[in-house]
Amino acid sequence: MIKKHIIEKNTVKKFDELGILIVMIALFIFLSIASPFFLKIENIQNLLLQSVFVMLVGFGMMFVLTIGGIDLSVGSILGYSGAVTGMIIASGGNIFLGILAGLGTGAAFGLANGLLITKLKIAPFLVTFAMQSVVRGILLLSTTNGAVSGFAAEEFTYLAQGYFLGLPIPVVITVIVFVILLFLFKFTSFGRNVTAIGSNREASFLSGVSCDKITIGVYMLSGLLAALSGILLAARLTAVQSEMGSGYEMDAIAAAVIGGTSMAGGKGSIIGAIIGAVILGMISNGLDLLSVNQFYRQIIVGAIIIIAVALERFTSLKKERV
Amino acid sequence: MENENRAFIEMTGITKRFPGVVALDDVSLTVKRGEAVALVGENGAGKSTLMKMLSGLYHPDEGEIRVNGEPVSITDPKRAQELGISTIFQEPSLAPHLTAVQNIYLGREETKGKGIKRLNEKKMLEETQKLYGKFFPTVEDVQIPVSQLGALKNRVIEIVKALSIQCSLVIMDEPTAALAEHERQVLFDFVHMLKAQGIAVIYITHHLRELFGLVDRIVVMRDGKKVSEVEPQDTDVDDLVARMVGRTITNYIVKETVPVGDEILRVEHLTRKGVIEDVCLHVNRGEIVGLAGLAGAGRTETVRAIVGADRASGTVLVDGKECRIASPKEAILNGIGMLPENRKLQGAHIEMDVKDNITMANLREVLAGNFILEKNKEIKTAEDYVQRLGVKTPTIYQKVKSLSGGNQQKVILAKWLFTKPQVLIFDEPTQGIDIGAKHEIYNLIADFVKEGGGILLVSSELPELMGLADRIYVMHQGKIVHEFARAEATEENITLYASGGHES
Amino acid sequence: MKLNAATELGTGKIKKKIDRQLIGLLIFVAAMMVVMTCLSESFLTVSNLTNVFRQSVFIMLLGFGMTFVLTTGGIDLSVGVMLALSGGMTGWLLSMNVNIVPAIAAGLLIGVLVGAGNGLMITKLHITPFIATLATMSIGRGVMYVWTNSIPFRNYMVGGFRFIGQGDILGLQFPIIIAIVAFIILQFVYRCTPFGRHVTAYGSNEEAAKVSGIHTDKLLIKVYALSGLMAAIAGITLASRLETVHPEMGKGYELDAIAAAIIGGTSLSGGKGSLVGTVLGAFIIYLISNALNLLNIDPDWETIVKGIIILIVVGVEFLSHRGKKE
Repeated sequence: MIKKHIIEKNTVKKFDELGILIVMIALFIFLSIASPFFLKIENIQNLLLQSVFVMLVGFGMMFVLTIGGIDLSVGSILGYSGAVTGMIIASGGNIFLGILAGLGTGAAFGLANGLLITKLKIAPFLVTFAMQSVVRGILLLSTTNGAVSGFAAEEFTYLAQGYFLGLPIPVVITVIVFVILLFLFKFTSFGRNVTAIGSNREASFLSGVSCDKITIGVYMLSGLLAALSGILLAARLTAVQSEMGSGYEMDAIAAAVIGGTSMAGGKGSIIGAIIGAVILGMISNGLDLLSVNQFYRQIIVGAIIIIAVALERFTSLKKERV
Repeated sequence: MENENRAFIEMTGITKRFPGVVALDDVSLTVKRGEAVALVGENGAGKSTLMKMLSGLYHPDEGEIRVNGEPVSITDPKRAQELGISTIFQEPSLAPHLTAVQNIYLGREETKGKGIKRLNEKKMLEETQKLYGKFFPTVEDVQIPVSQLGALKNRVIEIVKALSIQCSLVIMDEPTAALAEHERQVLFDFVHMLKAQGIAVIYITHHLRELFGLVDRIVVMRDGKKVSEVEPQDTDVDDLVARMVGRTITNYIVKETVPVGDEILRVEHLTRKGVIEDVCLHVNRGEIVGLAGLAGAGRTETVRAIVGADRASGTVLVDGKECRIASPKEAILNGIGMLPENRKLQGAHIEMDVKDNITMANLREVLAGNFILEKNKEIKTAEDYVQRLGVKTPTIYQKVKSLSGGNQQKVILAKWLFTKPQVLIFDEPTQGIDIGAKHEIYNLIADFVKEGGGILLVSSELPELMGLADRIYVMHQGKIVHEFARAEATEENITLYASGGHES
Repeated sequence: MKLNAATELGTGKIKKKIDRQLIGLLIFVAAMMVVMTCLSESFLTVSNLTNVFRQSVFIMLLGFGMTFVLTTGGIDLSVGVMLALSGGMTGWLLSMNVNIVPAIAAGLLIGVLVGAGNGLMITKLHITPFIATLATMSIGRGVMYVWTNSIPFRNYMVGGFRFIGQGDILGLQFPIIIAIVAFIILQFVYRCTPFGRHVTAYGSNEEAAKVSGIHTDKLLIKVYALSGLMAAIAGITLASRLETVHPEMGKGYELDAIAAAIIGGTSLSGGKGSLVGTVLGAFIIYLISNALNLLNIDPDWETIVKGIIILIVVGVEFLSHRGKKE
């Protein structure tokens, strides 16, 4: 009797992302019927391309949320890292060097977040919130004379505009990143420790887990992924405006939360984050295709977050009562 | 006078189901005015659930509650208060930022003024002082945040709070949990005082010895049912235990003598300013060393400092070699493990599964290369320990949350055994664990020393400490004040040193 | 005798603690005044300082609500959007020639309703305050865009309405009067009513509040509704002041409001708050931007400086706590 119950529970656990996958498929079917353009290859390519920028940031957010934190600075880091890469390339720097500098910038801000959170014990929300202001301010200063541009060397824009086996390059990069992160999350001690810290920080510390190091690592990873997204976005837009990436933190949180990552920490899903980001992308795409005002997107995203979180709370509360 | 013998509370046929479990099955309980009734049983027997019906936190699925003969429905805590039922909860339920006065009047503040009601601070202060005067002759600081007061004072505030409601019944759920021996006495006097005033008391506890001379009736519960109801003079601790677990348990603790080997752990001049001072102790192979003392004497702080969980000065030697231990990680690398005081908050990752918990403190052992987990090794390790320690779990993929307290503790012990420690430190290993599981934990502790390990055991339960330990250190106000050999230790002399009585 | 001694000791300790926080802030303000007076002639003038105060009124109003919310251990990220929705509602109704009283009432109502909605999500759906209000922020901003269709509301300035944001009584600007009145009322509510006491108790220990018979769900809904009301007052005043309601109105204000409360000594983890501190906090934020402005520093520095100040304030709090422990 008990055993049967357990097995049922485990099966449910295995397909944690099933519910949200169904939502995605339903949305997919709805859009295919509602708009004749939806299933066109260009549109699907476009949809994927739209989704990957948020997806990359969402991966980082998923790690941060799983460890029990939050990173509100990703949007600003995304913008500024893109700008750094852009500025270096525009001033005649090596493309590779530019990209490296951009990634380094992101990781450095992540490091700063992590250090402030672990060493000064300031709430993650507050640190990253302040960092959002600081980094956006720096970006504003560097774009005082207009947007960063003039870095559209073909080799660089290929990063965002090229195709590989019919897939846009950013999508290919995202797939690679996904595989690496999935491995990192599921099959390494780092991933295990991230979940452990999010689940119970004190118990992890007493069990000899290096909580500070891992936490710093996670915020660096989040900064790095935001930077990667920012560089790809810069390559796609060929100019970095002062507001680039603004609001991405919301989408990233939404993507992670829709995908079943718990805001309370200890539970995350990378595959879920992918599905979450694609759903967000489909919403934008669908509004475009159905010629509905894009302003509705924000409303829908907000509503989806509420529903996703409420469902998660509801099911976990129900489980607790058992 | 007629009132004296009338039942104040009558609960009949109370049944409560939670999804998948029947928490209470047709339970009846009657309490008269001026009577103290004890409610005993193992964890999960349904004591707290039954009491939560009276305090308005749960509602019965079936059955009836009568107060003063009238059927009532206790919808929420406020309603319970109105009916004259007040509860002192097991978990501290004071708001730490508020003062004693503010806590006592929380939820039913005295107000003045018509229309706009403002707080009548003066009246509340005066009433509080009156209440204190009535029950506790010593005056307390009633106007500083309660977080700045000690455990006993906080208990006292909760008691005063419970009494400030014009109550006819006080429910005490493990009221002595955070209290030291002599502080308990204060509480017992208090129960007698309540009875004398015609107030009924329901007393829930795990410390069965407390009950004799304190209560009029003992109600034993098991698996959601009331199994027996006895008067204290007709029973004793062993009999009660047998009723609770449904079988006879003899020989509470069996001490096996193990040859004592070399010194394995030596702590010298361990000091954390204002918390512990110049603590020196040592543990030999094959030895169980007890650390006794009152709550707040610095025992937990001492063991936390040994494993580097808190920063402290002093030296720690393992196997004769000095070790620099700045974090629990380094303690593990040097062969020291600690099972912390609070299982759910510090010990286990209750949201993670048994396997993940067991390998948590020694992931290195199950890595292929530097950081890649070798799942097969992990599974084998977990299954191995589950079997060795007799953890009752359907699979190693079960969340620790859903295991019983005793099995959770075994999982935590498995985690530490897997770090291959030379010394294990236990901080209150059997708190809140039922008697059967306690026994198993004792056996596992004995097995560990038989294999040449050393154990440092912190416990507030003196019988446990005296039953297991070869030597006992006693702490008082952050210092070790005495060391007893097994033969010398008695409850009386340990208590004397622990309470600072030796000084006078 | 002993009793009195103990009592006095008790209150003395509390007073000292609050004072230290406020004294720190006052010293900061004083130091800034001295430095700025040396650097700029126009800084230490009545008109400049009143101007700073007037600018800080809107954040102050939001900060008052935020102080209540933070004291419960929650957070309200939707204040900026509630401000815009309320200002928008009043402006929109006025532009349709609705009488000023119902227009303002409707604006206030929107704020209260959205705030109560936050409270309902938090209590009934068990969503954390952070996420619930974040979602409200997103939805509300979307609604602003859809509603205005990206074209700001204008042409709603009737005579009486102008007075709210731009009038003055005895030389005191009306928004400042609103802030002062709000402060007095809320300070009373916070310190001297059962409601205020329950707010602190809830933030200090939720369980304790529950078992003491406080209806915690109702309490939280009221607190978030109060935050909405304060946002609505700020929004309507701002609509009158700016004479236009842009869909982006109030964007980022939530951060300033949180900053004001935290700088003023309100704890993010609940159980402790100070409205006096919030007043000072809001004032300091605008004093800094005023100073940067007078020194002809690129306004983009403002966001950076604000972020750094938040970190410093919270970091210093942590370090001083640690100092005390050791």
